[in-house]
Order: sequence, then C-alpha cells, then structure tokens
Amino acid sequence: MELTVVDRDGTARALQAKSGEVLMPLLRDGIDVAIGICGGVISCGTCLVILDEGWSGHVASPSDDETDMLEALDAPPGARLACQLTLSDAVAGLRLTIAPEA
Amino acid sequence: MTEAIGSRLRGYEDLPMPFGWFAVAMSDEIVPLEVKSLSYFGTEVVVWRGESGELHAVDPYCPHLGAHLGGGDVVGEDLRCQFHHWRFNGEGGVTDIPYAKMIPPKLKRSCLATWPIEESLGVVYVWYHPRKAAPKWALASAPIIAAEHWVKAQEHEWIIKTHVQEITENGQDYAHFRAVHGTQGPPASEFQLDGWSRRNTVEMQMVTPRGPMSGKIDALAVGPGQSFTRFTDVTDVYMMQETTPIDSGTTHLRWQFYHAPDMSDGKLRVTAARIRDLVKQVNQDIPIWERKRYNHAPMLVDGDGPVLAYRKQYARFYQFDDPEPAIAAA
Repeated sequence: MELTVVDRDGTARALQAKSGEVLMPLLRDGIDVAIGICGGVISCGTCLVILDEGWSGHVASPSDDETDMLEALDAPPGARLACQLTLSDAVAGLRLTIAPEA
Repeated sequence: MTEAIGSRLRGYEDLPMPFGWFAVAMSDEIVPLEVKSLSYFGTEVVVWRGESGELHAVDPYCPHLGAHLGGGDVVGEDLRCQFHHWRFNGEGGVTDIPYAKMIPPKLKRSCLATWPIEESLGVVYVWYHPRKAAPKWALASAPIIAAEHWVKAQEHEWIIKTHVQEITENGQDYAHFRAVHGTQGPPASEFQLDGWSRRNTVEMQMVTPRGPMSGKIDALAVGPGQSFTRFTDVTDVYMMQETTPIDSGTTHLRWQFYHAPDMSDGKLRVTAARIRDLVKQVNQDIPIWERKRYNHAPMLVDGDGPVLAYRKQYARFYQFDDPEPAIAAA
C-alpha cells in the first residue's frame, strides 16, 4: 500500500508499506533517524504524527500509556505515536504529518 | 533427593536462597545523603538515605543506559545517577531528566525495581523474594527493648561460607552441644511452629555456687532471617540474630546483645561472661559449618533434635510460587 507522509519541511512524500508493519520504523528509516529514539516503548515521544481528519477510526485506539504520553506532549486531535500504529489494509491511502519538534 | 557426589559439592546446588526479611546493614552505616551498594542475595541492592532520614532501596542498574546506581548521589530525597543525572524517587519513578523536554508519564510512575526496606532497633532490613513478591509477613521486632529500656551491650558479625539455612539448623541439632561446645544440650526443649515463625523454649535447673536455680532460654525465629533469644537466669540477656544470604554458599551473621536495665556490677560481669561464651560457641561452630555438606537425607538417631521438623517448616521459604499474598502478622 502507499501512504503519504508530510515531513517537517512540509514536503509530501510517498511511503510504501505492507499490512502488519509498524509505522515508526518506516518513518525512522525512510524520513528521519531522530524519529523513534526510544525504539517504541513510549518513553520519548519523538514519533508523534498527526493523522489527517477521518483516519483515526481506521487504526486501533491508543493504550493507557500512549494516552498519557499524548496528554503529556499536549498533542492535537488526530495525533498518535507512530510506534503504536500497526498498519492494515484499512489505512491504504492514509495521509499523515510528522509533528513539529516539541 | 540424592546426596551431593564429590567432596567439592556441598549440597547447596539444590538449595536456593529463601525469601524473607533480611538484615543488610546497621542503621548507622548509612547516614543521610549517603548511597550504599550492598551485596546480598547473589545481586546488589542500592540503598540511600534521603535528607528526611528515610531509607530507599532499588535495583543496581539505571534503566536508561545501565550505569551502576551505587555510584550516584542523593539530591534531596532522590537518588541521582552519575551517568546522565536522571533522578529517581523511592518508588523507582523518574523525577528529573535534565536534558529532556518532558519526563514520560510511564517513567514518572516507575521504571526501576524497588525493594521493601525497613529499620528496627538499629538494623536495616529488606524483603527479598526472587520473584519480587510482596512481603508475606511483617518485619519482626523486639518490643521489650524499647518498652523496658534494655541496654545494648555488644554487636558481633561474621561472614561464613555456608548456606543460610545451616546456621539456624544448628540450634535444632541437640547432639552437637556436648561434642562441640562441651555443654549439655537442651534437656527439655519445647519446639513450636506457628505460621512463619518457630519457637524453642528450654527450661533447666542449673547448679550455681548459691544453689540450684532455674534458667530459661526462649528463642523465637521469624522467617529465615531473624531470631530473638532471651536467656533468663542469674542475668537477663536478649540476643537479636540476623542471618542474610550473600549468595547460596555465603551468609552474613549479625548479633546484637542487650541486657535488662539497672543491673548490678556483678550481674553485668555475668552478662559479659554469657556473651563471651556464646561468641566462643559460634567460633567453635564456624569451622564445622564451613566444611560440612548439607545432607538432604541425614542419618538421624534417637537423641538428635527436631532437625527434620525444622527443615519441613523452612521449605516454605522456598515456595516461590506460593500464591499466599497476604501480609500476616508474624
């Protein structure tokens, strides 16, 4: 499937992904090594992304730990930690923006 | 269970370290704002005393990049890691990361394993359980000492190359008293098991220059790490004993002696002699303990003490998956 990722410069880029993959490593390896510093244990907040409106219902709801982290980061609606998002065919065509550095 | 084969195997391979409350330091060995790394239970416990005087205990390695927290320092009530200056509170939660924009909520709650730690009568204890299960009984103490203003007489300690179970088994081994110490074994001993504790009471008639008099030894062991023994005869002496595994073949033994208040000089001399004699006896036991083997199936005969009853109770301290979670009064 193909996703569209808007990076911190505002450039929209196509990203190839497979169902079952976790989003964070794709962003780290394809976009910016400073994404996902903690490796996916919800302790750094560097993989914050904002899903375009309408897409939040297509992914699993955040866990309590992720919800706490989103609150601590003052994250806007539609924000998620990419390390907690496992992609499925339901998100083919998803467009998301990498959050600005805190 | 089969006996160990070969003279270098001492039977401890099948004996793990029991769970319980164990002494790890004397209170005055850890002053406020001090960090100590204490080697027990085959691992280390990092203990610090905050500015309030309260003690805290955690696992030795920083969850961040693995520095040994024993090299840290105390800031206020918190322990600060020397490597990146992360700070931890007594619950193992992160209170400061100087270079991060925020402390992740998960780390704030707790990310470093802690140990239950308590102090009583100048001794610092932690609760050890290999699966980190919560304490199953309350730390035992000797209320008589504070209530009746008993006087601390002496402290002694030994590091002994033996398993922790062996030291308290010695008291149940009646037949060694005559052979090793040249004394009578306990003549009429009462042995009671009650939950996590074990009581031995002995009453005997002693011949003294002033005629016969009755003496009493009352020993209470709570868990595998604490015993309290009162010797009442001409004098009145209270002994606190703590046995703590350093590893499965090495044990730290500590004694603190107290005597009743307002004793005459004569009774104080008898007290000193009694303590001297107990110290002499343990120094006779130690060379035997350090070379003996733990026989899983000892060949006991008439006249031996309640060694097997003792072992049966002690086996409870190895039931690591015991679901019994409750704190029961000791």
